[in-house]
Parts: sequence; C-alpha cells; structure tokens
Amino acid sequence: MRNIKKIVFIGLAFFILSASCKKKEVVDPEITFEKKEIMTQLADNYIVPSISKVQTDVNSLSTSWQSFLFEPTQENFDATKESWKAAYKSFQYVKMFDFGPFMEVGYANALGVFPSDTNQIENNISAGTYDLATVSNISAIGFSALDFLLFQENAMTLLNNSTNRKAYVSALISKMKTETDYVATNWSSYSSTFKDGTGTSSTSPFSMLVNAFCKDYEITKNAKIGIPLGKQSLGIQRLDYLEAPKSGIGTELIVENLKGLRKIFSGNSLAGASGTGFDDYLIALEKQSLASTIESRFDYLITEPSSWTANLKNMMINSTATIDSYYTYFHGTVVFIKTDMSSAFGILITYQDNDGD
Amino acid sequence: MLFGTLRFISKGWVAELYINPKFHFTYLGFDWVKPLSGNWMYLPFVLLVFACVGIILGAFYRLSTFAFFLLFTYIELLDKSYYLNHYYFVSLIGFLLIFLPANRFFSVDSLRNPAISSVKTHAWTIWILKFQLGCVYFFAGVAKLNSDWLFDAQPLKIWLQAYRDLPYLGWIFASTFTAFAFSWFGCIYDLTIPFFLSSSKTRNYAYFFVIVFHLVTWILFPIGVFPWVMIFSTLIFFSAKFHENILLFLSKLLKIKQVSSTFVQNYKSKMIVILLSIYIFLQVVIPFRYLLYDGNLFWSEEGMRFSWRVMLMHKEGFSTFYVKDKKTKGEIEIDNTKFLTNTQIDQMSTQPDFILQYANFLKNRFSDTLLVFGKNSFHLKNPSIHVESFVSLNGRPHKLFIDKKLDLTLIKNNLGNRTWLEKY
Repeated sequence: MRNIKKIVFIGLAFFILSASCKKKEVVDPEITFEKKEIMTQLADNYIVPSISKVQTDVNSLSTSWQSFLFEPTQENFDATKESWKAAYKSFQYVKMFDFGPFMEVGYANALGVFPSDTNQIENNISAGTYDLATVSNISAIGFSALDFLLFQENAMTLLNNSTNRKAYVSALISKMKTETDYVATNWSSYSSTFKDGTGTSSTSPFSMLVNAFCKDYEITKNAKIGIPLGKQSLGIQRLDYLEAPKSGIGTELIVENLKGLRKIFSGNSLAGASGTGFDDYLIALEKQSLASTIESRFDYLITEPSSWTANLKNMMINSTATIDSYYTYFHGTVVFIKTDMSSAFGILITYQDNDGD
Repeated sequence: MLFGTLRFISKGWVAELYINPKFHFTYLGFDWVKPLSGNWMYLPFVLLVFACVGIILGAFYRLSTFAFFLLFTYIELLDKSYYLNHYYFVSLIGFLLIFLPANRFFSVDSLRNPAISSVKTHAWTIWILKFQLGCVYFFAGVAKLNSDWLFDAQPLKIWLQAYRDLPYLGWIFASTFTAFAFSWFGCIYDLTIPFFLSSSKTRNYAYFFVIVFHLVTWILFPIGVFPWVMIFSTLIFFSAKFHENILLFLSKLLKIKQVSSTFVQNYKSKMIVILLSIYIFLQVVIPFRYLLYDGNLFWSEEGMRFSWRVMLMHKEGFSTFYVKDKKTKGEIEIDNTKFLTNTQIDQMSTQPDFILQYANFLKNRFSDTLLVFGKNSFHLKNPSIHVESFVSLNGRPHKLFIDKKLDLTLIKNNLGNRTWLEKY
C-alpha cells in the first residue's frame, strides 16, 4: 500500500515538473488558445459596430417618419418604409444577444416579436392611450407592428386620416429608439465583464453567448420557416405566422439573420474582416472538420435563398418542396451546433449548479 | 443537509423544479409519487429543515431520522431529471440512521431521558457507515476503469480545458497531460481511499487526500454541497478517541457538562446479521447489474443509476419529437420547451427511459384531440410518436441514437434490453 502512495507522489511530482518545463516551449494552440480572444473580437468588432448600426438606422427611421408627419407625401412615406427595412435588417445582427444591456431591456422581444396581433394594434389606436411596455402589448410593438402599419393596403391613406394612428407609429418608433439607445450606451460599461466572462458556469458570458447562439439558430428555424410551413401543425401551412408578411421581406430577414450568426461563428467583424471565433476554438480542440462542416452548412443556408423566385409566402404556397428541403437542411444543422460544438466547448446547459454526474 | 435544504429553498428551486414543470419524469415503479399541488410543495422542504435540526441536536431522534429519510426520498423520487448519486447516498444514509443509535450520547434525547444515555455503541453501527462510504468511493473507482476515462482522459479533457482562460494556470488545464493526470489520480484515489482510510497507519495522509480531492472537485465542478458532505462523512473512519475530542471541544464551546468516553463493543444478533447481509449484498450487486445487459452502458444507460457512476461521461443530445397522424402522415414537430424545463430537456435528450416517458406523455396529450390551426381544424385520434435523436458521447461526433422510423408508443418502458436503440 505504501508503494502505491509512493508511485502516486512520484507521479504527481513528475507531472508538476514536466508541466513547468513544457511552458517554455508552448506554441501548441491546443494549450495557448484563450476564449477571451473570441469575446474581445466579438465585443469590439462585431457587437459595438452592429448595435451602432441599428442605432443609426433606427434614428434615420425616426427622422424620415418625422419628415412624413411634417409633409405627408408619397415620397416621404416611401423613405420611411425604406429606413424601416434597413433598420429591421440591421436588427437581425443583434437579436441573438441576451446578456448585459440586451437582457436588461429584453431587447430581442421588445423589437422583434412576430406575428403581430393586429386587433390589439387597432384597439390601442382607437383607445388612444396605451402602455406599450406591458406584456399584453408584446405583439403590438416593434418592427412587426410597423410592418402592418406601414405596409398594409392603403397604409398611407389610413395614416393620413387618423391622428391616433400616426401617434401610435410615433410611439412605436420612439420606444425602439429609446431601447436601442439604452443598449448602445450601456454596452461599453458591460463590455469588460463580457470579455472577462470566460468562466465555466452556466451564467458566465461565454456560456450565455454559446447558448444564445444555439437558441437563436433554433428560433430562426422554427419561427421564420418551420411554423408558417406547417411543421408544427400536421403540414397545414400557417401563413399568418410569417415574419413581415405585408412588406414581404421574410427571406431577406432570414438571410441577414444567418449572416449575423455566421460572422459570430467565424469571429468576423461586422464589416467582414476575419478574426477569432468559435471556429478557431474548435480548431484548437482538434475539431477542424466540425468547424468546416458548420461553416459550409451556413454558407449553403445563406446562398440557397438567392435562387428563390418569389417571396417567402408564395414560395411556401407554390414551391413547398423547395422550402421543405431548405427547412430539413436548416434543422439538420442544429445537431452540429447544439450538440457537437457545445459539447466540445464543455458548456453546461444545465441551469442548476447542483449538477454532478 | 440542513444547509443544503435551506440553500435549495432560498435559490427558488422548489418552484423551478417541482411546482412549475408540467410533467415529471418518474422512476420506474414509482409513478404514483406525485408532487403536492402548488405551494404545498414547500411543506416537505420545511419539514425537512425540522428533521435536520432534530438529527443534529439528537432530539426526537427516531422520528427525525424517519421523517428525514421519508421526506428526502419522496422529493428525490418525484423527478429523476434531478437524479444525483449524492442524493441517493444521502437517502441511504438517512435510511441507515433510522436504525442507528446516534442519539445515545451528546444529545437532547439523552438529556430528556437519561436512561437511554449510553457511551457505548455496537461495532456494526459504525462499520456499516464505513462500508457505505467505502462503496461510494470504490465503485466510483471501478466505474472509471474504462477506455474513455483511462486512455482518452475523457470526459475530464473536455471539462478541464474549459478552464483555459484562468490567469497563469490556464495552460495547465488546457493540456491533455493534465487531463490524464487527473483521470488516473481520480481513479486510483477512488479505488484505494477506503482502504487507506481504514488503516490507522495511513489514515491521516489519506484524509489529507480526501480534503484535497474534494476541494479540487468543489472548485472545478458545479456539485453544490456534496464535497463538504463527503469531507465530513469520511471522519467516521477516525477512532473513537478522535470523535470524543471533537465532542469535548464542542462541550466547552457550548458550555455543556458531559461525562465523556465512548466505547465500541462487539455485538452479535442473528437478526442484525441477516438484515445487514441483505443490505450489503444489495449494495454490492446493484452497481454490477449492468452486466446483465447487452451493449454499451454509456449508450443505453441500463444499470447506470444507483451505481456510483459519478462524473463519468459527457453526453449531449438533440432529440426532435414528432406526433404523427397515421392516416394523413401529417406531422407535428414538437417544441420541447413548451412542455419541459431546460434541465428536463437536457436529461431527456440522451436517456432512453426519459425519451419513452416523454413520448407517452405526448401520446396522452395529443390523443383524441381537436387541433385548431387558424381557420383549419383537425381531429387527431390515435397518433404515433416518433423521435429523431442524435447523441454525442465524450466529445465524439454525434451519432444516430434513435431512428425516426420507430413508433415509440409500441415500445414498453421496462428493465429489458433496449434493442430499439441504434447500435453504438
């Protein structure tokens, strides 16, 4: 028995010695790679420019809407609609984040819930008073509510005929502006917490980032395609669940959303310059092939819709098989991200700190 | 355990784990164990606090230990999503305590009724606790004797590399070498520690390792109060003299007068010998029941629980359920978050018995149901339930776990071989 102990001791001593020798010659990314590089790259070169882009775009939405109120011409109305599109697209690049100031204002839900409850919107408008922050109004605010108010049939006439309706649009835009400004202002103070948050607990920013990434991918798959396609309703299509049904920009939103996730995965800046991302971490863990599988799957999902000849709604009706196989591929990618990638990172999905085995 | 229970209540876990979920994964044969409705669920936890206080003070000992065992086990039986080997350990110790005379000395009971006061105890009462602790370690060690653990250093390699960002030490954790060192040390530690603790010569050194080992696991892994439970439980291996000194110290601290000196006495009764033998037999056999099954234990998980397989694998899964109408072939892809909590989804995705239970739940939920989809409605009569499940074991690329072709409603959840799983 003593001998065993001796062996253990010698083993330990040997381990410590050899480990300290190793340090001098470290070049192996398996050892030197740090998660902080991912966090820093993402915070400085993706999140900051992305949120500032949304801020700029929501500001110009606000400005063009003010011009329309001042001078309700078709030209000004069209300008408002264009800035709404631009802002909605920029929003796709930040909607996956659910930590720090994003979490504090519930940013993704405040701006991005769809489909809209048009009855609730009309009721609010005719009542003339409303608290847009309440839960009951969650489907009567944000980009989706504006899709209805700006793109429905005779939208401009309806707006011009109703002060209440115009006031409602103003209130929606102003709410979006306040929340976006809040996130943009408060990100800088959270940024260092984020970059240092490379711990292993389920509440560490790195874990939250990976979880948010996986979750957004799944939500995009289900909400933007699966549900309207009838995946949760025995194949009976539910086109009333489509995102941005009036403007018909659903496909573009899917593509922008995926481009955002793809940049996060590869650690690219918003402008597209390459940097450290999840892919580099996977490579450090000797999972090169997983990294390239995920990348090529994203690339397929991003480029495939360019071959679609109609908007998403009409594609679902007339080219169901095309959308169906796109959805199947979308779904088939989840396991690479959620199972293989998360498990390689050693992320604990459990929210209870009592795990164990 | 008092601390553990209070921590559990204060973290809001009672509501999160037992009140809010729509569905619970019960243990086979214990389907009848149901949570109390609404906030009544707090009741067993509050009673548990009283039972803990009772045991610590040695007051109303039989009642306290009996209540403790019953309440704790009741809570654990509600949902196996929260199964932990350590909880099982606590239940077993709770069970043993009912029969042990741990209120005979330095207790409120012995003050109330000096007649029961005794400074002596039977050897078996201490011995059985040592045996139980020894089991935990030894079987945990035996379980580590597999190729993933020893020759791939998995799952520790995955878990330890996650600490790569620690200042100064990160590179040590990122190194494969460290994962091997930890794996082998952990294995040897588990296999030998009960014996080193038993021998008076090595006991002090061994206890030093106990403290180091559990502190390291406490720092590195999210395992709550249990490192502390083990650190204090293993004190049972120390001599009577040692415990006396602790009690003496406590007496001085609390200013209680107590006559000291405990003795251990050998005692033989046929009844006790038989009962002990049965208990020991079960404890030794249960961890090996997996031998009765074909296939890979980590894959099928038959014989996994109640076997001290602690921190042994890193399993991640992705399971998509489909409720299918047999006539039209129309499918409903299930969004698991509608019915299960995150912990439940996490546990369910990789474990066959959970998958069957959830399938059964879905079957009941959707059978003979009028589904309204906007302007359309559909009467779903007798759907089949399918799952497409992928699992990744110890960081390997995912593999198909259960094929979507199978109708899960036709499969029985029992102790038989799980031949319906894909081969590992």
